[in-house]
Amino acid sequence: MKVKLREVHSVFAWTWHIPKESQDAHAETIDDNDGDDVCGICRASYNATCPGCKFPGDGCPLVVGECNHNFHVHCIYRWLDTATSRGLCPMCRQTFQLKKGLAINDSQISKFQELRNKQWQTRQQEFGDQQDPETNPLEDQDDPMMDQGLIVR
Amino acid sequence: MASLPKRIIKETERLVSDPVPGITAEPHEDNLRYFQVTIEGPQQSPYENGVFNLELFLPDDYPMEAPKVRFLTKIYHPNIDKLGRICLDVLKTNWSPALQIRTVLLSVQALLASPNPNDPLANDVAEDWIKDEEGAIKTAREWTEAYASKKDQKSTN
Amino acid sequence: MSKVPRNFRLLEELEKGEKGLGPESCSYGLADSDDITMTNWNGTILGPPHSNHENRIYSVSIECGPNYPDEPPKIKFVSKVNVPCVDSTTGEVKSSVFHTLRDWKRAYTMETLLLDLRKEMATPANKKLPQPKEGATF
Repeated sequence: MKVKLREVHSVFAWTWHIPKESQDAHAETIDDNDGDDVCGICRASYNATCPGCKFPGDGCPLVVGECNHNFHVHCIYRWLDTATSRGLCPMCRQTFQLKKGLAINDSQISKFQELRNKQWQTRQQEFGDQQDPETNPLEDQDDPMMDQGLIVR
Repeated sequence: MASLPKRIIKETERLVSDPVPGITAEPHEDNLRYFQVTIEGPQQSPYENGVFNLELFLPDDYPMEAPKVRFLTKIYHPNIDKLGRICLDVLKTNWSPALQIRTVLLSVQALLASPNPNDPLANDVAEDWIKDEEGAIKTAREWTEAYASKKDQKSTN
Repeated sequence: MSKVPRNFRLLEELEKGEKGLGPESCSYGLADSDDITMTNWNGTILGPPHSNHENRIYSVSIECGPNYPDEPPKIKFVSKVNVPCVDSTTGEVKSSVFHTLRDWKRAYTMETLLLDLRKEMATPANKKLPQPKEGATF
Protein backbone atom coordinates (compact mmCIF):
# COMPACT_ATOMS: atom_id res chain seq x y z
CA MET A 1 0.00 0.00 0.00
CA LYS A 2 1.14 3.47 -0.81
CA VAL A 3 0.10 6.41 1.32
CA LYS A 4 0.39 9.91 0.03
CA LEU A 5 0.62 12.47 2.77
CA ARG A 6 -1.02 15.67 1.61
CA GLU A 7 -1.05 17.79 4.71
CA VAL A 8 -0.02 17.55 8.34
CA HIS A 9 -1.52 19.63 11.16
CA SER A 10 0.51 19.69 14.32
CA VAL A 11 -0.92 20.82 17.59
CA PHE A 12 1.24 21.68 20.55
CA ALA A 13 0.39 22.37 24.15
CA TRP A 14 2.67 24.55 26.23
CA THR A 15 3.06 25.88 29.72
CA TRP A 16 5.67 28.07 31.33
CA HIS A 17 8.42 26.07 32.87
CA ILE A 18 8.51 26.94 36.53
CA PRO A 19 11.01 24.97 38.60
CA LYS A 20 9.26 22.82 41.18
CA GLU A 21 10.66 24.58 44.20
CA SER A 22 9.43 27.89 42.79
CA GLN A 23 5.85 26.78 42.42
CA ASP A 24 3.69 28.54 44.84
CA ALA A 25 2.19 25.94 47.16
CA HIS A 26 -0.37 28.29 48.62
CA ALA A 27 -1.26 30.33 45.55
CA GLU A 28 -4.58 28.62 45.12
CA THR A 29 -6.47 30.00 48.08
CA ILE A 30 -8.02 32.87 46.20
CA ASP A 31 -9.47 31.66 42.97
CA ASP A 32 -11.37 28.87 41.39
CA ASN A 33 -9.23 28.51 38.34
CA ASP A 34 -9.47 24.75 37.85
CA GLY A 35 -6.21 24.15 39.63
CA ASP A 36 -4.42 26.43 37.21
CA ASP A 37 -2.03 28.76 39.01
CA VAL A 38 -2.95 32.41 38.68
CA CYS A 39 -0.96 35.61 38.74
CA GLY A 40 -1.43 37.18 42.18
CA ILE A 41 -1.94 40.59 40.60
CA CYS A 42 -4.36 40.18 37.68
CA ARG A 43 -5.72 36.76 38.82
CA ALA A 44 -5.48 35.38 35.29
CA SER A 45 -3.71 32.07 34.70
CA TYR A 46 0.06 32.08 34.33
CA ASN A 47 -0.39 30.64 30.87
CA ALA A 48 -2.88 33.30 29.85
CA THR A 49 -2.02 36.96 29.38
CA CYS A 50 -1.98 39.98 31.63
CA PRO A 51 -4.97 42.33 31.10
CA GLY A 52 -2.99 44.46 28.63
CA CYS A 53 -1.95 41.68 26.22
CA LYS A 54 -3.84 39.70 23.62
CA PHE A 55 -1.51 36.78 22.92
CA PRO A 56 -0.01 34.53 25.57
CA GLY A 57 3.53 33.28 25.26
CA ASP A 58 6.73 35.19 24.64
CA GLY A 59 4.84 38.46 24.28
CA CYS A 60 3.55 38.24 27.85
CA PRO A 61 6.05 36.19 29.82
CA LEU A 62 6.12 35.09 33.42
CA VAL A 63 8.82 35.89 35.96
CA VAL A 64 9.80 33.98 39.06
CA GLY A 65 10.66 35.88 42.23
CA GLU A 66 13.42 35.06 44.68
CA CYS A 67 10.54 34.59 47.15
CA ASN A 68 8.96 32.02 44.79
CA HIS A 69 6.04 34.28 43.95
CA ASN A 70 5.41 34.41 40.24
CA PHE A 71 3.69 37.04 38.13
CA HIS A 72 3.16 38.13 34.55
CA VAL A 73 6.14 40.36 33.92
CA HIS A 74 3.85 43.24 32.86
CA CYS A 75 1.82 42.99 36.07
CA ILE A 76 4.72 42.95 38.53
CA TYR A 77 6.54 45.64 36.56
CA ARG A 78 3.57 48.00 36.73
CA TRP A 79 3.29 47.38 40.46
CA LEU A 80 6.97 47.92 41.18
CA ASP A 81 6.79 51.12 39.17
CA THR A 82 4.30 52.64 41.67
CA ALA A 83 5.49 54.60 44.69
CA THR A 84 3.24 52.54 46.98
CA SER A 85 5.03 49.30 46.13
CA ARG A 86 8.33 50.34 47.74
CA GLY A 87 9.81 47.57 45.62
CA LEU A 88 7.99 44.87 47.61
CA CYS A 89 6.41 41.62 46.47
CA PRO A 90 2.59 41.97 46.62
CA MET A 91 2.24 38.55 48.24
CA CYS A 92 4.90 38.47 50.97
CA ARG A 93 6.11 42.10 51.13
CA GLN A 94 9.75 41.14 50.81
CA THR A 95 11.86 43.11 48.36
CA PHE A 96 10.97 41.63 44.99
CA GLN A 97 13.94 40.21 43.15
CA LEU A 98 14.15 37.98 40.14
CA LYS A 99 15.33 34.51 41.02
CA LYS A 100 18.82 34.03 39.67
CA GLY A 101 19.86 31.38 37.19
CA LEU A 102 16.46 30.75 35.67
CA ALA A 103 16.05 30.76 31.91
CA ILE A 104 12.58 32.23 32.25
CA ASN A 105 13.92 35.33 34.03
CA ASP A 106 17.01 35.93 31.87
CA SER A 107 15.52 38.28 29.31
CA GLN A 108 13.99 40.47 32.02
CA ILE A 109 16.98 41.09 34.26
CA SER A 110 18.12 44.36 32.68
CA LYS A 111 14.60 45.79 32.65
CA PHE A 112 14.18 45.14 36.36
CA GLN A 113 17.59 46.50 37.20
CA GLU A 114 16.77 49.75 35.43
CA LEU A 115 13.56 50.03 37.38
CA ARG A 116 15.36 49.51 40.66
CA ASN A 117 17.97 52.06 39.76
CA LYS A 118 15.25 54.55 38.98
CA GLN A 119 13.60 53.92 42.34
CA TRP A 120 16.88 54.07 44.18
CA GLN A 121 17.50 57.48 42.69
CA THR A 122 14.02 58.72 43.57
CA ARG A 123 14.48 57.53 47.11
CA GLN A 124 17.83 59.27 47.27
CA GLN A 125 16.19 62.53 46.26
CA GLU A 126 13.42 62.08 48.81
CA PHE A 127 15.72 61.42 51.72
CA GLY A 128 18.39 63.89 50.67
CA ASP A 129 21.86 62.86 51.66
CA GLN A 130 20.74 60.48 54.36
CA GLN A 131 22.61 57.29 53.66
CA ASP A 132 21.57 53.84 54.56
CA PRO A 133 23.78 51.22 52.93
CA GLU A 134 21.56 48.43 54.24
CA THR A 135 18.73 49.45 51.96
CA ASN A 136 20.90 50.07 48.95
CA PRO A 137 19.45 47.66 46.41
CA LEU A 138 22.44 48.07 44.13
CA GLU A 139 25.06 46.87 46.53
CA ASP A 140 25.92 43.65 44.81
CA GLN A 141 25.41 44.73 41.25
CA ASP A 142 27.83 46.19 38.84
CA ASP A 143 25.85 48.40 36.58
CA PRO A 144 26.83 51.62 34.86
CA MET A 145 23.64 53.21 36.16
CA MET A 146 25.02 52.97 39.65
CA ASP A 147 27.69 55.50 38.88
CA GLN A 148 25.06 57.91 37.67
CA GLY A 149 23.19 57.40 40.92
CA LEU A 150 26.29 58.37 42.84
CA ILE A 151 26.80 61.47 40.73
CA VAL A 152 23.25 62.59 41.44
CA ARG A 153 24.02 62.33 45.10
CA MET B 1 -17.12 52.84 28.61
CA ALA B 2 -13.91 50.84 28.71
CA SER B 3 -14.48 47.15 29.34
CA LEU B 4 -14.19 45.94 32.90
CA PRO B 5 -10.98 44.04 33.71
CA LYS B 6 -11.48 40.32 34.25
CA ARG B 7 -10.18 40.54 37.79
CA ILE B 8 -12.96 42.98 38.76
CA ILE B 9 -15.60 40.76 37.13
CA LYS B 10 -14.28 37.73 39.03
CA GLU B 11 -14.17 39.58 42.33
CA THR B 12 -17.71 40.86 41.87
CA GLU B 13 -19.03 37.39 41.01
CA ARG B 14 -17.40 35.90 44.06
CA LEU B 15 -18.74 38.63 46.36
CA VAL B 16 -22.21 37.53 45.29
CA SER B 17 -21.72 33.75 45.09
CA ASP B 18 -19.60 33.44 48.24
CA PRO B 19 -20.33 36.51 50.38
CA VAL B 20 -18.30 37.38 53.44
CA PRO B 21 -20.38 36.93 56.61
CA GLY B 22 -21.64 40.30 57.85
CA ILE B 23 -20.61 42.13 54.67
CA THR B 24 -22.46 42.86 51.45
CA ALA B 25 -21.09 44.60 48.37
CA GLU B 26 -23.06 45.21 45.21
CA PRO B 27 -22.01 47.19 42.15
CA HIS B 28 -24.22 50.02 40.91
CA GLU B 29 -25.88 49.14 37.63
CA ASP B 30 -24.65 52.26 35.87
CA ASN B 31 -21.08 52.04 37.20
CA LEU B 32 -19.65 48.59 37.79
CA ARG B 33 -16.62 50.00 39.60
CA TYR B 34 -18.82 51.67 42.20
CA PHE B 35 -20.14 49.45 45.01
CA GLN B 36 -22.78 49.89 47.63
CA VAL B 37 -21.49 48.20 50.78
CA THR B 38 -22.91 47.25 54.17
CA ILE B 39 -20.86 46.09 57.13
CA GLU B 40 -22.34 44.69 60.32
CA GLY B 41 -20.76 45.97 63.51
CA PRO B 42 -18.62 43.20 65.06
CA GLN B 43 -19.97 41.46 68.14
CA GLN B 44 -18.61 42.60 71.49
CA SER B 45 -17.70 45.95 69.94
CA PRO B 46 -19.52 49.25 70.52
CA TYR B 47 -20.83 48.89 66.96
CA GLU B 48 -22.58 45.58 67.70
CA ASN B 49 -26.10 45.31 66.23
CA GLY B 50 -25.40 48.19 63.86
CA VAL B 51 -25.43 47.99 60.08
CA PHE B 52 -23.20 50.58 58.43
CA ASN B 53 -23.52 51.76 54.85
CA LEU B 54 -20.35 52.43 52.91
CA GLU B 55 -19.39 53.18 49.34
CA LEU B 56 -16.43 51.73 47.49
CA PHE B 57 -14.89 52.74 44.18
CA LEU B 58 -12.24 50.96 42.13
CA PRO B 59 -10.11 53.62 40.41
CA ASP B 60 -8.77 53.14 36.88
CA ASP B 61 -5.45 51.93 38.23
CA TYR B 62 -6.94 49.24 40.46
CA PRO B 63 -5.35 46.86 41.49
CA MET B 64 -2.16 48.94 41.28
CA GLU B 65 -4.00 51.52 43.38
CA ALA B 66 -6.16 50.74 46.43
CA PRO B 67 -9.96 50.92 46.29
CA LYS B 68 -11.47 54.11 47.71
CA VAL B 69 -13.80 53.43 50.63
CA ARG B 70 -15.97 55.74 52.73
CA PHE B 71 -18.61 55.37 55.45
CA LEU B 72 -22.00 56.82 54.56
CA THR B 73 -23.46 56.09 58.00
CA LYS B 74 -22.37 58.40 60.81
CA ILE B 75 -20.01 56.57 63.15
CA TYR B 76 -18.10 57.51 66.29
CA HIS B 77 -14.66 55.95 65.81
CA PRO B 78 -11.14 57.38 66.30
CA ASN B 79 -10.00 56.30 62.82
CA ILE B 80 -13.05 57.47 60.88
CA ASP B 81 -13.72 61.17 60.39
CA LYS B 82 -16.93 63.19 60.16
CA LEU B 83 -17.09 62.71 56.40
CA GLY B 84 -16.71 58.94 56.74
CA ARG B 85 -13.09 58.87 55.55
CA ILE B 86 -11.16 55.93 56.95
CA CYS B 87 -7.60 55.93 58.26
CA LEU B 88 -6.43 52.41 57.49
CA ASP B 89 -2.95 51.43 56.33
CA VAL B 90 -4.07 48.93 53.68
CA LEU B 91 -6.07 51.67 51.97
CA LYS B 92 -3.01 53.91 51.75
CA THR B 93 0.65 53.05 52.23
CA ASN B 94 0.24 49.34 52.85
CA TRP B 95 -1.89 48.57 49.84
CA SER B 96 -0.86 45.52 47.82
CA PRO B 97 -2.44 44.25 44.58
CA ALA B 98 -2.68 40.85 46.26
CA LEU B 99 -5.47 42.33 48.40
CA GLN B 100 -9.02 42.44 47.11
CA ILE B 101 -12.35 44.11 47.73
CA ARG B 102 -13.28 41.39 50.23
CA THR B 103 -10.03 41.57 52.19
CA VAL B 104 -10.22 45.35 52.34
CA LEU B 105 -13.76 45.22 53.68
CA LEU B 106 -12.71 42.62 56.24
CA SER B 107 -9.95 45.00 57.36
CA VAL B 108 -12.53 47.76 57.77
CA GLN B 109 -14.68 45.42 59.85
CA ALA B 110 -11.63 44.51 61.93
CA LEU B 111 -10.95 48.22 62.47
CA LEU B 112 -14.42 48.51 64.01
CA ALA B 113 -13.53 45.69 66.40
CA SER B 114 -10.24 47.29 67.40
CA PRO B 115 -10.19 51.09 67.24
CA ASN B 116 -6.72 52.57 67.29
CA PRO B 117 -6.79 56.03 68.96
CA ASN B 118 -3.01 56.35 68.66
CA ASP B 119 -3.22 56.60 64.86
CA PRO B 120 -6.17 58.94 64.58
CA LEU B 121 -7.92 60.65 61.73
CA ALA B 122 -10.84 62.20 63.60
CA ASN B 123 -8.71 63.99 66.15
CA ASP B 124 -11.34 65.00 68.69
CA VAL B 125 -12.78 61.47 68.79
CA ALA B 126 -9.31 60.00 69.32
CA GLU B 127 -8.65 62.45 72.16
CA ASP B 128 -11.91 61.49 73.86
CA TRP B 129 -11.00 57.86 73.38
CA ILE B 130 -7.65 58.23 75.09
CA LYS B 131 -8.94 60.47 77.90
CA ASP B 132 -12.07 58.50 78.72
CA GLU B 133 -12.30 55.19 76.90
CA GLU B 134 -15.40 54.09 78.76
CA GLY B 135 -17.22 57.31 77.90
CA ALA B 136 -16.12 57.11 74.26
CA ILE B 137 -17.33 53.54 73.95
CA LYS B 138 -20.66 54.62 75.41
CA THR B 139 -20.95 57.42 72.83
CA ALA B 140 -20.02 54.98 70.05
CA ARG B 141 -22.85 52.68 71.23
CA GLU B 142 -25.30 55.57 71.29
CA TRP B 143 -24.35 56.65 67.78
CA THR B 144 -24.68 53.07 66.55
CA GLU B 145 -28.17 52.94 68.04
CA ALA B 146 -29.09 56.35 66.62
CA TYR B 147 -27.69 56.11 63.09
CA ALA B 148 -26.96 52.46 62.29
CA SER B 149 -29.78 50.48 63.82
CA LYS B 150 -31.13 47.74 61.57
CA LYS B 151 -34.76 48.81 61.99
CA ASP B 152 -34.06 52.35 60.81
CA GLN B 153 -32.23 51.21 57.72
CA LYS B 154 -35.12 49.03 56.64
CA SER B 155 -37.64 51.82 56.95
CA THR B 156 -35.51 54.41 55.18
CA ASN B 157 -34.19 52.28 52.34
CA MET C 1 -11.41 56.44 31.81
CA SER C 2 -14.02 55.26 34.22
CA LYS C 3 -16.45 57.66 35.82
CA VAL C 4 -15.45 58.71 39.31
CA PRO C 5 -18.70 58.79 41.35
CA ARG C 6 -19.88 62.11 42.79
CA ASN C 7 -18.78 61.56 46.39
CA PHE C 8 -15.27 60.39 45.59
CA ARG C 9 -14.90 63.19 43.09
CA LEU C 10 -15.93 65.71 45.78
CA LEU C 11 -13.52 64.11 48.27
CA GLU C 12 -10.71 64.60 45.72
CA GLU C 13 -11.66 68.22 45.30
CA LEU C 14 -11.90 68.69 49.05
CA GLU C 15 -8.44 67.24 49.56
CA LYS C 16 -6.98 69.48 46.89
CA GLY C 17 -8.68 72.48 48.48
CA GLU C 18 -7.60 71.52 52.02
CA LYS C 19 -4.00 70.97 51.09
CA GLY C 20 -3.88 74.22 49.14
CA LEU C 21 -2.67 72.41 46.05
CA GLY C 22 -4.70 74.62 43.76
CA PRO C 23 -3.84 78.07 42.46
CA GLU C 24 -3.56 80.98 44.89
CA SER C 25 -6.15 83.06 43.11
CA CYS C 26 -9.08 81.03 44.43
CA SER C 27 -9.97 78.74 47.32
CA TYR C 28 -12.85 76.51 48.32
CA GLY C 29 -13.92 74.28 51.19
CA LEU C 30 -16.95 72.60 52.71
CA ALA C 31 -19.44 75.02 54.29
CA ASP C 32 -20.30 72.41 56.93
CA SER C 33 -17.49 70.02 57.77
CA ASP C 34 -20.06 67.59 59.21
CA ASP C 35 -22.13 67.31 56.05
CA ILE C 36 -21.63 63.78 54.80
CA THR C 37 -23.41 64.68 51.52
CA MET C 38 -20.84 67.42 50.82
CA THR C 39 -23.48 69.62 49.18
CA ASN C 40 -22.65 73.16 50.28
CA TRP C 41 -19.27 74.79 49.74
CA ASN C 42 -17.75 78.19 50.30
CA GLY C 43 -15.34 79.69 47.84
CA THR C 44 -13.30 82.83 47.36
CA ILE C 45 -12.00 84.54 44.27
CA LEU C 46 -9.13 86.99 44.44
CA GLY C 47 -10.00 89.96 42.21
CA PRO C 48 -7.88 89.89 39.03
CA PRO C 49 -5.12 92.50 38.74
CA HIS C 50 -5.40 95.52 36.40
CA SER C 51 -9.15 95.63 36.90
CA ASN C 52 -11.59 97.32 39.25
CA HIS C 53 -11.55 94.06 41.22
CA GLU C 54 -7.90 94.29 42.09
CA ASN C 55 -7.10 93.52 45.77
CA ARG C 56 -10.68 92.52 46.52
CA ILE C 57 -11.65 89.09 47.78
CA TYR C 58 -15.04 87.85 46.64
CA SER C 59 -16.95 85.21 48.59
CA VAL C 60 -19.18 82.78 46.78
CA SER C 61 -21.35 79.87 47.84
CA ILE C 62 -21.53 76.72 45.76
CA GLU C 63 -24.14 73.98 45.85
CA CYS C 64 -23.17 70.58 44.42
CA GLY C 65 -26.42 68.71 43.90
CA PRO C 66 -26.89 64.93 43.77
CA ASN C 67 -26.06 64.83 40.05
CA TYR C 68 -22.79 66.74 40.28
CA PRO C 69 -20.45 66.51 38.34
CA ASP C 70 -22.70 65.30 35.52
CA GLU C 71 -24.62 68.51 36.10
CA PRO C 72 -22.98 71.83 37.01
CA PRO C 73 -23.18 73.14 40.57
CA LYS C 74 -25.16 76.26 41.46
CA ILE C 75 -22.94 79.18 42.31
CA LYS C 76 -23.86 82.47 43.92
CA PHE C 77 -21.83 85.51 44.87
CA VAL C 78 -22.07 86.47 48.53
CA SER C 79 -19.96 89.59 48.02
CA LYS C 80 -21.62 92.18 45.82
CA VAL C 81 -20.18 92.35 42.33
CA ASN C 82 -21.13 93.95 39.03
CA VAL C 83 -20.57 91.48 36.16
CA PRO C 84 -23.16 90.77 33.43
CA CYS C 85 -23.30 87.00 34.15
CA VAL C 86 -24.21 87.62 37.80
CA ASP C 87 -27.82 88.39 38.73
CA SER C 88 -27.72 91.89 40.17
CA THR C 89 -30.33 91.24 42.87
CA THR C 90 -29.56 87.68 44.03
CA GLY C 91 -25.87 87.28 43.19
CA GLU C 92 -26.55 84.05 41.34
CA VAL C 93 -24.31 83.27 38.40
CA LYS C 94 -26.68 82.85 35.48
CA SER C 95 -26.16 79.46 33.88
CA SER C 96 -27.79 80.58 30.65
CA VAL C 97 -25.20 83.33 30.25
CA PHE C 98 -21.99 82.07 31.80
CA HIS C 99 -20.30 79.69 29.35
CA THR C 100 -18.66 77.40 31.92
CA LEU C 101 -22.05 76.55 33.44
CA ARG C 102 -23.88 76.51 30.12
CA ASP C 103 -21.38 74.18 28.42
CA TRP C 104 -20.54 72.22 31.56
CA LYS C 105 -18.37 69.11 31.17
CA ARG C 106 -17.92 66.31 33.68
CA ALA C 107 -14.20 66.98 33.87
CA TYR C 108 -14.80 70.52 35.16
CA THR C 109 -14.36 71.13 38.88
CA MET C 110 -15.23 73.88 41.34
CA GLU C 111 -11.75 75.17 40.70
CA THR C 112 -12.44 75.41 36.95
CA LEU C 113 -15.56 77.35 37.76
CA LEU C 114 -13.86 79.82 40.13
CA LEU C 115 -10.93 80.43 37.79
CA ASP C 116 -13.25 80.94 34.81
CA LEU C 117 -15.32 83.44 36.80
CA ARG C 118 -12.14 85.29 37.64
CA LYS C 119 -11.25 85.39 33.94
CA GLU C 120 -14.74 86.68 33.20
CA MET C 121 -14.18 89.55 35.66
CA ALA C 122 -10.98 90.47 33.83
CA THR C 123 -12.28 90.56 30.23
CA PRO C 124 -11.81 93.91 28.45
CA ALA C 125 -15.59 94.42 28.51
CA ASN C 126 -15.89 93.75 32.25
CA LYS C 127 -12.73 94.87 33.96
CA LYS C 128 -13.59 98.58 34.15
CA LEU C 129 -17.25 98.18 35.12
CA PRO C 130 -18.07 100.28 38.19
CA GLN C 131 -18.09 98.07 41.29
CA PRO C 132 -20.17 98.31 44.46
CA LYS C 133 -18.56 99.42 47.71
CA GLU C 134 -16.06 96.85 48.93
CA GLY C 135 -17.51 94.53 51.57
CA ALA C 136 -21.14 94.88 50.44
CA THR C 137 -23.09 91.63 50.24
CA PHE C 138 -26.10 90.37 48.32
